[in-house]
Amino acid sequence: MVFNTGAALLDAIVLAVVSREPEGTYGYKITQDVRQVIELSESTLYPVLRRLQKDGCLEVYDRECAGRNRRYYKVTEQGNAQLNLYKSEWKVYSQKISFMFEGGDLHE
Amino acid sequence: MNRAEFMEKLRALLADVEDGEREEALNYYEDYFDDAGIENEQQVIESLESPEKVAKIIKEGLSDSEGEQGEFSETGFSGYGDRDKEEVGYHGVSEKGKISDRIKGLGTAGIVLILILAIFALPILGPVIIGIVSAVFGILIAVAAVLFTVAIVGIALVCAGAATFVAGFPAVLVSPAVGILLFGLALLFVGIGILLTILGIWVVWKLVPPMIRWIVRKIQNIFAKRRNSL
Repeated sequence: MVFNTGAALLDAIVLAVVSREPEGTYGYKITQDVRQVIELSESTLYPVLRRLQKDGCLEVYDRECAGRNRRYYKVTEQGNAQLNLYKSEWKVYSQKISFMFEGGDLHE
Repeated sequence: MNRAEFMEKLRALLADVEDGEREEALNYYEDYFDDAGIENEQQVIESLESPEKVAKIIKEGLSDSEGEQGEFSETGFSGYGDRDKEEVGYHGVSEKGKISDRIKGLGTAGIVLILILAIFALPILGPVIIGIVSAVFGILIAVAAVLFTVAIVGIALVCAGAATFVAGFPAVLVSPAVGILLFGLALLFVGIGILLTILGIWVVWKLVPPMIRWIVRKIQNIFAKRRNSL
């Protein structure tokens, strides 16, 4: 991809991916899901998940799975609010860019 | 390099990281290998590139948890320090989305600055507030006047009805039909008049006291806020 993904957009994508699983989801799956939309190295996501967790946007819990504990991530209420904000900002932003690309006059 | 070697190297590289954070990160990557499955072990190690790179990213994540955030691209993570300055990133959301964080991060100096600005704005804001209050007051007076007029019209109709009724008596003698018409009109006037009077007075009675109470409360709120902020 030629466009870089800013930290805020990556946060938004991660929140969106995690919020699709009401029960929560785990690091490996989040990475695979995010990689369906943007190319990123497998090591990129850990600090993002950790930061979102510290900011109170994600909560974690351990669930028994195949004889071991697997860490699950779940979107908190605050995370949902943040995601909604990102979504509406993205809508405005992407519409403006598309409009500009298609030759529209922004001041009309 | 296999998984065990990778994890051991990573643990050594994270030796200077706080215990809790180190375990958290190591657990994450242990989980990651488990979930990827043994068959994907080599592919994961290749994708992670090297324990050095993973450790660097973890440490960067810990140090820039506030303030400057890096940029993620297909080439991985790059902090602002080593990023080409000509690159135009996408920061719109991060700036707008974290307003609350920014206010939290303002500190005493910022708050004092905002207060000074507020004081300088008072000469402009004061008249504006007075203007708005006057406008609201004016509208209320107008509404009250309309209602008062309705009541007065009601009273006038009652009077007109009474006069018409009196006028009806001589008319009956001349033409009974005209007389009855006048009596009827008179009763109609009186009825409508009484209703209008009651309506006007009732509305004033019911609406004005709550309105005044509401306005008083709003004004009190404004002054209370200002007292709190200064």
